[in-house]
Amino acid sequence: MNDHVQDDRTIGPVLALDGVTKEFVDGQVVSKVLRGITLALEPAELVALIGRSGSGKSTLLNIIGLLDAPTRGTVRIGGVDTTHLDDAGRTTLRNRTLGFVFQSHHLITALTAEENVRVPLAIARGWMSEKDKPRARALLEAVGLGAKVDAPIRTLSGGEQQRVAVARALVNEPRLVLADEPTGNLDTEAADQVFALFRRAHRERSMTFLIVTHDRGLAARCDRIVEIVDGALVSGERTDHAESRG
Amino acid sequence: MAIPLDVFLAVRFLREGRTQTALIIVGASFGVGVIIFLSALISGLQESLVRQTLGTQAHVVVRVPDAYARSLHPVVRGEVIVAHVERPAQRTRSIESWQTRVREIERMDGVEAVSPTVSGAALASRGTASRSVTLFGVEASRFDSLYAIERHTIVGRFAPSGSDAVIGAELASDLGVSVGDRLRIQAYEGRASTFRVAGVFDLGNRDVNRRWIVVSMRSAQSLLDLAGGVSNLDVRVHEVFAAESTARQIESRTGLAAESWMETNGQLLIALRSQSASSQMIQFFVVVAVALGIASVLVVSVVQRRKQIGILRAMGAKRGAIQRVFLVQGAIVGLAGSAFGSGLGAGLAIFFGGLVRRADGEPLFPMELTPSLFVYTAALATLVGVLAAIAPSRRASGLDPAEAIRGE
Ligand SMILES: Nc1ncnc2c1ncn2[C@@H]1O[C@H](COP(=O)(O)OP(=O)(O)OP(=O)(O)O)[C@@H](O)[C@H]1O
Ligand SMILES: [Mg+2]
Repeated sequence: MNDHVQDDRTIGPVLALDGVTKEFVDGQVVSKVLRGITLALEPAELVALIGRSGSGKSTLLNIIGLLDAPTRGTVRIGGVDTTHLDDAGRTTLRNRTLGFVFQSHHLITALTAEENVRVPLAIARGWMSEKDKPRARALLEAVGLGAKVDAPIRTLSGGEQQRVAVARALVNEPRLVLADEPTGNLDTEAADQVFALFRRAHRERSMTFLIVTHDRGLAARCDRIVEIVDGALVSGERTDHAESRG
Repeated sequence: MAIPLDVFLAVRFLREGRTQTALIIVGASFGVGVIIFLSALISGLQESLVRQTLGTQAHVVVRVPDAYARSLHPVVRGEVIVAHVERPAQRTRSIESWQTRVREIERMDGVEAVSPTVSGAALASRGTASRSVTLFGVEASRFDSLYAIERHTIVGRFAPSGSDAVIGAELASDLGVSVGDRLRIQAYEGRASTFRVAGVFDLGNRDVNRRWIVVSMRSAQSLLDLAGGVSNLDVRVHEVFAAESTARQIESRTGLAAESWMETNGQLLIALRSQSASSQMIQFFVVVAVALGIASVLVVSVVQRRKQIGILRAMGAKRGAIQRVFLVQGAIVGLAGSAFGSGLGAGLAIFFGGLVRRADGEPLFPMELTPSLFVYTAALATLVGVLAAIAPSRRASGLDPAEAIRGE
């Protein structure tokens, strides 16, 4: 289904949010976390999403990732209005178009690092294939885990696990990668490696990134910064990189 | 090499949950072992019981229907007939054109052999000793295909012809006769004649050994005053428990009266049935216990992996795929359980089967281990594993990915 989603990489925004509102109702208390967010991500943009803790960054990412539905407003991914998609439709779109790196990585502990990276490809196909091994290895090498390819997840440090999750998010070359503090657990060197990988994927494959970060320095290296303040988006802060972008 | 993702994950999840996995496989193995052992024991016991009973009994006996049961007047609705039906004298009556009947019954489905027999009560005597006996006039080979007397002949030969008779071992010793000796047979409602003992048999049944005298059909016909006729057709069927339906079939096709061993041995049949029922009840509880064990371990496994399942869903794994991961785990546990359990059950059965023997050398616990028992149990265990996994797999696939990922 939706073959055009794969094809129109250069036409129209990859992501278009229109008036996205999210309210959580807990008994009598209604908390409005997001109040009418409108945002468009062009193909091959590298965008930083910042905001205070509790401002709703993860909530917004979950909505964009079709894991949660907005209270009001629409989410279009690659031109497809997702409002009326059923579970199967959302699932397919997630596997084909989206890559996730979560605040905590949620790797599958029963598998090795390399097998974890292969999982998104296996989901797409239904088969876990040895043919995908070289690709998974190359990605792990790119995030500095060449030596830990066959390591069980439990033996990896928090930062190493996070880098495996990054490799996993990129393996099926999704058009849009949603990363929730991908470098939160990493030291500067590892964080740089991960960011460099994002940059390369972005440059070589025209992939679009939406990266939640608390790291001002990292945000400054993106094409654009958007900030959530009081549930609304304060947008448009273009960085120098936007001009130097190839 | 490529493996279906659901199978791959199922195997890895089971491998990761080492102790739990080992425990449920052990549980399932015990379940399978118990079922195999119990089934082998029960069917072995029943088989030997039935074999002992039917060794000296026809599976179906076909006779002329009792005359007194029929009314002479056709019954007209509304008309009250007061009729005293006189019961005719208990004289044995011959089956009309029995040769045709024999061929007809022989051709029926499930029938193995038919033996036309002239039988009646008689008195056997030698000198001053006399015993009341049951006289059988038979066609030797047909009779033998029902009761295997030739194989059980201990002295002389099974050759009832002319004035030769073959008699039971107890009768021989009661009358003090052996092969070559003469004895006199007096039919209660007929004539008397002298026979030579050609063979002595031991059918393993005291009553039979004490009462049976087998002679040629012609001799019995003349003794019992039933020239050219036979009193009953003894039928052997392939599947003993199908005897009843075969009997009904014979009745409807021939109009004769047919009685199966199941009717004759009502008590035995009830005993067998209740034995089977209690065995099935035990199997049922074993199955329930194993299923609950598998289900609870899988539920724990789902709860432990909530977040990982959430991320699989976030990465685009469909609900059905998640469900299959757990259904396959159930199937694997069932299969592994049936592999180990078959060994266990067979081992137990062989051990107990060889443990105690009766005086006659037969095992006290005759075990019946058939390939179909193993196939049946393996299929049952796998099915139970899959069924037990349904609830956990639903739980897993119903997880809200956002929820599963958020909660720390
Ligand atoms: N399922 C939920 N039910 C109720 N409230 C929720 C739920 N999810 C999030 N919230 C609330 O929404 C607000 C935004 O949460 P969110 O996790 O999006 O913040 P965040 O910007 O990602 O913060 P952080 O930087 O600490 O990760 C918080 O006040 C949180 O308590
Ligand atoms: Mg967050």
